[in-house]
Amino acid sequence: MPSDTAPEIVGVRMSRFAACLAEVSLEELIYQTCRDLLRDLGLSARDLDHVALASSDMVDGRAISMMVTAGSAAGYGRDVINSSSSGEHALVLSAVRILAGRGRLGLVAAWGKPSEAPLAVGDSLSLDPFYQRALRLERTAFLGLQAARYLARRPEAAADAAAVVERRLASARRNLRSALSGTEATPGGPAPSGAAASGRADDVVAWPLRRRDVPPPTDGAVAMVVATPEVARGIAARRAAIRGLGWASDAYWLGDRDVTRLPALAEAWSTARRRAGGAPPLDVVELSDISPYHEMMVCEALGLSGKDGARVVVNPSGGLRASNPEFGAGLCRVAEAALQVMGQADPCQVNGARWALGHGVAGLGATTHTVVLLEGVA
Amino acid sequence: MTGRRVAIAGVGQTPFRHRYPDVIYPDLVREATRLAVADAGLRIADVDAVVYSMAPDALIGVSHAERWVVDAAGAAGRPLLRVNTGGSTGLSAVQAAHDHVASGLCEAVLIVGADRVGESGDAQTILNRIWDPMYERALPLNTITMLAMQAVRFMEKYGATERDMARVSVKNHRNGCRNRYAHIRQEVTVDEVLRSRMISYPIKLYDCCPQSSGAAAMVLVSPERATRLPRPPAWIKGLGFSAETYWMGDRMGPAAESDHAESPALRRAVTAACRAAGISAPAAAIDVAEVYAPFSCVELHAIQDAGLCEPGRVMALLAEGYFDLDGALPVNPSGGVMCANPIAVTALVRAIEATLQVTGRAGEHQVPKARTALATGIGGDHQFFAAAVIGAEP
Repeated sequence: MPSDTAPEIVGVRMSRFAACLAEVSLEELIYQTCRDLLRDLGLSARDLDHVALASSDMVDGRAISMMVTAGSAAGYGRDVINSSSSGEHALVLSAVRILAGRGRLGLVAAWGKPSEAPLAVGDSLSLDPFYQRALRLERTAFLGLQAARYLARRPEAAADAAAVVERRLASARRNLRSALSGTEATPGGPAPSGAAASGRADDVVAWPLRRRDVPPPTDGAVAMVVATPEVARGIAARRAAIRGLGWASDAYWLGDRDVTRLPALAEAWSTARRRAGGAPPLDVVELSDISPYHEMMVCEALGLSGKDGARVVVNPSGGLRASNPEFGAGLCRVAEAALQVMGQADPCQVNGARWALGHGVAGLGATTHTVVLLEGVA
Repeated sequence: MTGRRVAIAGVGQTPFRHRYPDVIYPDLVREATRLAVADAGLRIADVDAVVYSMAPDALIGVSHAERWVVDAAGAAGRPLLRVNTGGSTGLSAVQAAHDHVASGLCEAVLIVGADRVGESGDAQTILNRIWDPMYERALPLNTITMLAMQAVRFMEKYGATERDMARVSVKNHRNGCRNRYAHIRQEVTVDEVLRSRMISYPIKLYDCCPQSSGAAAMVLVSPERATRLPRPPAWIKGLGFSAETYWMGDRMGPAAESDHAESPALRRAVTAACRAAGISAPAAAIDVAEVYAPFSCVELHAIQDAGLCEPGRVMALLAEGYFDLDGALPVNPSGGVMCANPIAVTALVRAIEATLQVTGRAGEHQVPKARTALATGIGGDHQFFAAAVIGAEP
């Protein structure tokens, strides 16, 4: 997207992440995150001309959950829009609005408080009521089905998966913004939901996945301010310019595709590259590693598996081990990518990071993908 | 608006009914998609992206149904995102799709959605869940009792009566009989409305919208693509949206932030849309309005808050026939929300009807020489207000 019009992220803020943030309500969690971000940037809610949110009724436990959360996110009295398909789609809505010339400065926010949500029930209710719902599948089963097929295609992936998990856990423990910050947590961290909810780290939760392979959900919120380049320059010295943006959905039915590949992600990445005017030399990728096998599938779809991908640092934040608020996790990945190119990602800053990609995923079977290509500007 | 202009190339609606027992949800979406894409003279392969219009998941009993309908909306392998702002969702989806095109990222975008409110069991029980579980949910609020309080306050402030409300119902039901997509196609008299069963004072049965099932879709295109359409398109001239407080208690009593009789956010949304369209006086510039009003009392305040008449004048003008199909400023010639309320797409249908009017394709409920139309949407607990100005010219 042209440098004179490409929206820029001028600041990001993430809440504390933990398996359960019992001390704050959902409304307080969102409010504190957005208030702190605006205060950091010297802005007030009155400066905003739009607010773009992402919320899931099922995760938030309310019908039209953005009704109660919009006020917490500076939405009262303002122009608000809300996506319910994926957390990072809030950023897409803000970006297209700014590119369309209908906005100059917007607040983007997403969140999740899965400690209060029966995620497995929500998963079941998202399945079509005629064919799939009676199977009582939930997210872990879908992850296992895809991982098993991937393992059949690449038997050597089992060893790679174990190494990936250890690397991500080590990174997440170093990251001060992480649910595992400074801990010597049990591998796998807090208990995941559904079939992975109890037992030891080595227990198989959905073959070939073991409990440690599935990043546990966390409570938390993420917010960012997005602006036109002109406005952005007046707010922050270092920004993350959105050079490419792509999002796509795969076919709904697992039987309609090769589940070891992510064609929607490949399409989204292709679109983002085209909009960026070509493939830049990526320094960092913050991807949604819903399982180590899915991380490998994502790397394949992004073309990071070959020699060219060797120099790219993947998930220096620890990925979903660091921050995994259901429905807001993809926007956390974009936030971590933005911090990298703004030089604000300590203590997991990648030296000299200029180009970064943030990736979000949604849907059972990893059907919905979004990529945001960021360049650091000053 | 400063981005490139955006044309409405095609629209599609299924007939709205209480039930579609022989059609599964994705097939409703598939049918609306087929109708809108064909109306635009395009193929589904010509569509670059889909914006899915879906409000509360619970109304259809499937969570995140935007995933279930990916194939039916022709979106497999393509960009799809869902917009949800409650009852205003349809116009929020128009705004999002507009920005897809105006930004230059897309050439053709499909907006589609469907709902099965009539098959939800009890929509009002579901809609009680929109309120905070600690304070207001237990009152017990639903969208009828909430708007009954609004009506009482409007009657107190502006002197409106139940008979004024009944006149709204008579007008809209008369118009709905001319609209082949309307769920309710039955005329009523003022006396019949006044004698109908009390639901929540002052709202009676014939002051209420139905619980509707059905689907709707719209295709937006760039100016370049608009030159190749089979017929002249409509154009999005202006968009606006504004939110009010979530809390009922903030609209009542001496410390109220806003008066429950009115909707300052609707005024802000319409003002923003009109400003973008270069309109300073909506009452003079708008030829026809499709105003989101699920209950007769809502239309009374919505007309004046949209700037279509002076505050307090709406009752007298209504009695004169000013807002009738053959009046000076027809409001809800389709019958409006009182004749069909498939919540996920109700506000989208307002934009579709506005499009049909300014392109002269509204059939038996066509307003002669309509060139500029206003469409509005209301979502949440009378909280989110959306507006679009749609015109025959770019």
